[in-house]
Formats: sequence, C-alpha cells, structure tokens
Amino acid sequence: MNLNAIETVVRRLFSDAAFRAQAIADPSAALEGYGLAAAEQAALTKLCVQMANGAATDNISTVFWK
Amino acid sequence: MPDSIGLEAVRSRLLEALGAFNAPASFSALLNIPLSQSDKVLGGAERPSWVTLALAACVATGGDAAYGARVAAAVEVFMAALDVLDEIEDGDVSPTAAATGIPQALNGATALLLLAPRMLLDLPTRDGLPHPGDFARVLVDGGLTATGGQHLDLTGEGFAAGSPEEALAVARRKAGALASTACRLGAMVGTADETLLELYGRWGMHYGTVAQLANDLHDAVDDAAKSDVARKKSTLPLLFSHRVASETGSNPGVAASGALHFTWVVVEIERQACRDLADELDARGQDTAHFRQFVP
Repeated sequence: MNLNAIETVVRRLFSDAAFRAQAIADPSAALEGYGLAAAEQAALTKLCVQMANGAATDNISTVFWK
Repeated sequence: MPDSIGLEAVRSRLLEALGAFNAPASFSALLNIPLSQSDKVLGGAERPSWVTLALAACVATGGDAAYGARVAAAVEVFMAALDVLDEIEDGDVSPTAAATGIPQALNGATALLLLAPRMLLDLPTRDGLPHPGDFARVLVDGGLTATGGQHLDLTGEGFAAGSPEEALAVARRKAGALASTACRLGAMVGTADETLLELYGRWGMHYGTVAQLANDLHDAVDDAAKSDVARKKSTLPLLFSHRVASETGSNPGVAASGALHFTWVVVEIERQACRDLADELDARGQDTAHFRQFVP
C-alpha cells in the first residue's frame, strides 16, 4: 500500500481548497499523477464522494461505515 | 452469522474445559472474569467477535459444527488471556486486575494462555483433516506474531514509530495476526487445503487490521477514556496528526488535520481486500455468506 501517496492526497484535500473542490467535482482527474494503485484510487474516490456529500471532518460517526 | 445454537455449543465447551481444569474455586472465579466480559460468549454477547470469526470460517469450509465449537472455544479462551495482558500492558482499565490485583490477573491470564492450546491438543484426530497439533501450532504462532506487534506498539509510544508504514505494520501484527489465526483455525475444521487456509488467514489479517484501525480511530478522538493520546501512541491517525503538526508548525487537532479521513481510506482499502478474498474463496467453492456479513 502506498501510504505516502495516500497521505499526500489527504493532506492536500485538507489544505488546498481548490484541489478539494476539484477532487469533489471530478475525483478521477484530481487523483491522476499520484501513482495510486486501483484499490487506493477507489478508496480515495469514495472519500471524495463522502466529502461531496458533506461528511463532517470532526464527526467520527460519519467517517465510520457500518 | 453462526446462530445461537452454535454459540450455545461454544459456551458448553468453554464450561467443560474450565471444569476439567480442576482449578481451586477462587481461581475458577478469577478465570471467569475475562471470559464473562460483555463481548464474550459467557458474558452473553450475541456476536462475540473471535468466536463468530472462527465459526464463520468453519461454516464456509463445510466443517463439522461440533468440532468447530471446540476450536472456537479455545480461541475465545486464548483471546480472553490476551485481553487481560493487553489491558495491563497498555495501562488500560482491566476488569480482572481491578477485581483481583495485577499479580493474580497475570497468573490467571497465564492459565488461560496455557489452557487454550491444551483444548486444541485434546481435539480428536480426523482422517484427511489437520491434526490437533496443527491447530495448537497455528494458535501459538498467531500469538507469537501478536506479541511482536504488541512490542512494536509499546515501544512506539511518544511517536517513536515515525512512519505510517510502521504504524500499519503494528495493526497488522496485532489484531490482524489474531483475526488471521481465528479464521485459519475455523477453516481447518473443514479443510486441510493449504491454499484455502492461506486465503482464510489473509482474509482474517485484513479484517483484523480493519478492526484495529477502527479502534485506533475511536481512541484518537476519545482521549478522556483511553491512553492513546496521552501516551502519544504511534497509531495511524495520531501519527498523521502529529506529522501534520510537526511539519506545518500548527496543530489543527486530530480531526481537522485529516487524520481520520486518512485512516478511513486505509481501512477502506483493507475492507476491499476482504471483499476480493471472499470472491476468491467463493470461486473455490467456499460458502462465504457469513464472511461477507463482517465486511459488506
């Protein structure tokens, strides 16, 4: 698992408003160029979708799935 | 999930094993404390995690239910022992230590640790299926791996483990190894096929890692109840938050740093690995319906 790449993307999502907006609008395009494996891309895309649906950053119950 | 009949069989086997131990009455009462916690079969849990993992693997391979109950009971005893040890090592609340003091709790955990492989060695031998000694070896090997993970965890306090890779390795070597063991043992009830057993073990490893990371996530934001934050444990979320704070010079807090979401992504990857392995087991004729309920 490329944790470095995942960390880089997540940090950018939290620090770069323009990137976050791009990732929410078009995860596939935003995640290009990070050398992500298919599973990593899928998980980060799912995160972007969750963020697009308004998942709160400080509410762990919205972060957890059931 | 394995139904209440399966759990009742495990309960019976547990009580039988404890009775056969012939411990002094006060010692039996002590041993019952970790075994009767709310997440355990004797504590009335509807879905005791270790037992249901082992039973689910047994069902998936078509293993004999009665044999599976004996294996699951041994797994429950083993994990109860490790619970006590983990609580004391981590300085967490330990119902057993609170009731008896640490010396007696440690002695009780030792007894349970020894009882578990003995329960497996007492299994009957069956033609074409793993020998009782094989079951005991898998249990012990899983425990040894988990102690290595616990060592890394204990020595990683103060954010001593610097990398997310190391933090993930701890999760895999702790709960990952134990869940792998429970799954493999359950599967051995119905098959001796090493390819299948390896797949069950890998499924368990990923599932255990999910559980450990979920626990770490919860503890990262619940510093009133747990020691992870105070001890600066190198869990994946706390390490991420620490690295952000160190490198940016500002501390936005665990949630706002992105630590929870980072860990969530890692957990989602582990969950997908479980789903993929379940597909592979299905393709090999296994009945993974129960497994899929663990990771929908």
